[in-house]
Amino acid sequence: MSAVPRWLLIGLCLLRAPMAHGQALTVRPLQNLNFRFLLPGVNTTVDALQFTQSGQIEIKASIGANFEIRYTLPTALIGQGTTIPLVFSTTSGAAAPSSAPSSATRFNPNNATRWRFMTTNTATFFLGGQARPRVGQPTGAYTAPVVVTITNLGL
Amino acid sequence: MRARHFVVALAAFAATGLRAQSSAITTNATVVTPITVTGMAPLDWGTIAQNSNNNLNPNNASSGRFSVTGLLGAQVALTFTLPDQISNGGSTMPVTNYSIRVNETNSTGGSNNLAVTSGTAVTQTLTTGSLFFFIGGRVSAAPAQQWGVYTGTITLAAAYTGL
Repeated sequence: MSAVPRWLLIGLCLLRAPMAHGQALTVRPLQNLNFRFLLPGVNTTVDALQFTQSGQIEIKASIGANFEIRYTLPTALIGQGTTIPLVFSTTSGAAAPSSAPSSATRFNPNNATRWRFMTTNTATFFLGGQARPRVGQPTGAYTAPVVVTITNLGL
Repeated sequence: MRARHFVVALAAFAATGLRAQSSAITTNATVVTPITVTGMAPLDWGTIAQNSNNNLNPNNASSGRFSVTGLLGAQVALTFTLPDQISNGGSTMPVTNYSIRVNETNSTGGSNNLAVTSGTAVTQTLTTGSLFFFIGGRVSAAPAQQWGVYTGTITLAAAYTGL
């Protein structure tokens, strides 16, 4: 056996170890963050754990996997030719094993957050926030995108 | 040639090991004007004799009346709470056979029947921005019904459900 194939074999073995545990990670959007109906001049908060209204994504990976989740948060809802400011606080994010959403832990969605799958392979991430329509805000629909980027950090 | 394959293999595994994925959701809201619910008139059966019934039609001028105003074209959930009796101190008289009609103007002419169960929401659309409700019902006095003024409370709660 020549030198190159031996190194190749060693290299493949080293790199294959984490793959054998299944680093594959899937992300699935479950629900939009919906403030529903806002009254002009009245701030409205949706808590991350208001399950019928909070934004939700589900991540699946192998037990033991590490990843980083980063939200790209909008500063305002847009519609009717104007905007409604949005605020995301240090507790607007929550994460929990999908099997036990009531055991969620809070996090700051303004910063990247790391998560490790400890006992289950599915986690749900919840996003709340506050909308601040001004007095005289035009009636109608408003919307804004929330982008979630997940980086697999391996085992 | 083999060395090139090795480099390719390493690059492929490295790319898999620290891959980023993106997903997107939206955040949305609808700005609305406040809903206003106004009790316009009491449901007034007037004087009732002992051992008799009084059926008040919702088209009657003494029917109970509510108005609801809000965002033009919005859907609203309306929940009536209808008492099953009216009382005078410790004495009561049963109230049954509630009948409710609805119209977009403050007139019973051209109104429509609205099937309502106390405590259960019904959905209506504020096509013109306003709805008016006319409430009738039946009160029954017992043979030895104590005389006096009997009262009860009808409530109407409204909430937006859609546009």
